[in-house]
Amino acid sequence: MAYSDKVIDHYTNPRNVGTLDKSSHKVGTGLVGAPECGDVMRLQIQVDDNNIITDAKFKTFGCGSAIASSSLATEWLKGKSVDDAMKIDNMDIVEELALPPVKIHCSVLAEDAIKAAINDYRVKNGMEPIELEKSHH
Amino acid sequence: MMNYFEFYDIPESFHPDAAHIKKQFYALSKQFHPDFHANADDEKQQEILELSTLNNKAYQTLSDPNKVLEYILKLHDLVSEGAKPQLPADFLMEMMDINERLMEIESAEQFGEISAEVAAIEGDMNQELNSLTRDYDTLNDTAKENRLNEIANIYYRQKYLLRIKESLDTFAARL
Repeated sequence: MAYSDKVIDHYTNPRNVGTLDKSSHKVGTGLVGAPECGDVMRLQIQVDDNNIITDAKFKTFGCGSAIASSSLATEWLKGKSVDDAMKIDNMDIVEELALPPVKIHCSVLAEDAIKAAINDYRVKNGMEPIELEKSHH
Repeated sequence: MMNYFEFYDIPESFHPDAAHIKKQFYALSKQFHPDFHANADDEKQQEILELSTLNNKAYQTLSDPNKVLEYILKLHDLVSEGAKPQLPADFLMEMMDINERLMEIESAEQFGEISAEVAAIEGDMNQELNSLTRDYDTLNDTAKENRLNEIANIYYRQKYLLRIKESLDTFAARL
C-alpha cells in the first residue's frame, strides 16, 4: 500500500514529538490504543487562561498513518481554542493525509486522543467531562 | 455456513481434543475425496469439493490453539474490523512505558531487563488466558458470554505484546 507524500512527510519528520508535564493542571493528557494492531498513542495539550491551546505534544507507537495522524493533530491543535479543538473530526485528518480506507482507524485514534486530552484537562480543572459519541465515520 | 465445531461434531472449546480432530479429519478427507465421486453429477461434485475445502480449513484452524482462539472470538463477533474494545488505562500506560524505554535502549543490559519484563507479562497473560479458557465448554450460555469478553480482552492485550516483541527482535538483531 502506498502512503501519500503528506503521510511520509509527517512520518519521517514528525512535529511536536515529546511530553508535557502531566501533573500540571494546565496540561491535559489523552492515552488511547488501537488494540487490533497494538498501537498506542499519547497526546497532550497545554491550555492558557484564555482557553487557548498553546502547546501540543504526542508520542505514538504504531504504523506510519497513526504517527502522521497524531503529528498532524498536534499541528492543528496549537493556537486553537479548546472548543474548536473539540470540533476536529477524524475525516478532516483522513482528507488532509489522503488516508486509504484501511487506515481510517488511525485518524479515529487521533480524534479519540484529542478528546481524551481535552476531557483530562476539563476534569483537572473542575469541569464535567464531555460526553463522547461512540460512532465515527 | 456450518461452523468448524459443528462440522466435526464436537463442542465449542478453546482446547478441542486433538486426537479426535485428527481422526475426524482423516475420516472426512476420505468421505469427501473427489476420486470417490468421479461419477456423480456436476452439482454433487461441486458440493463435495466445498465440503473437502471446509474440512481442510476446519482442520487447520482447530489444530492451532491461536487460530482456535481467534476463530471462537470471531464466531461470537468479538473480533471485527473497527472493533474498539476498551483496554484498562494502566495497561496502556504500561505498554507506552515499555515502548518508550525500548526506543532508548543503549546497552545489552537494558535490553535484557525489558525482555525479562515482557516475558513476565506474557507469562501472566498466558496463565490468565489458560484459566479463562480451560473450563469454557462447561459454562452456561450467560457465563460463556461474560467469559468471552474477558478472553477477547486478553486477545487484544496480546497484540500489544506481539508488537513489542517484534521491536525487541529488531533490537536483538542490532545488538
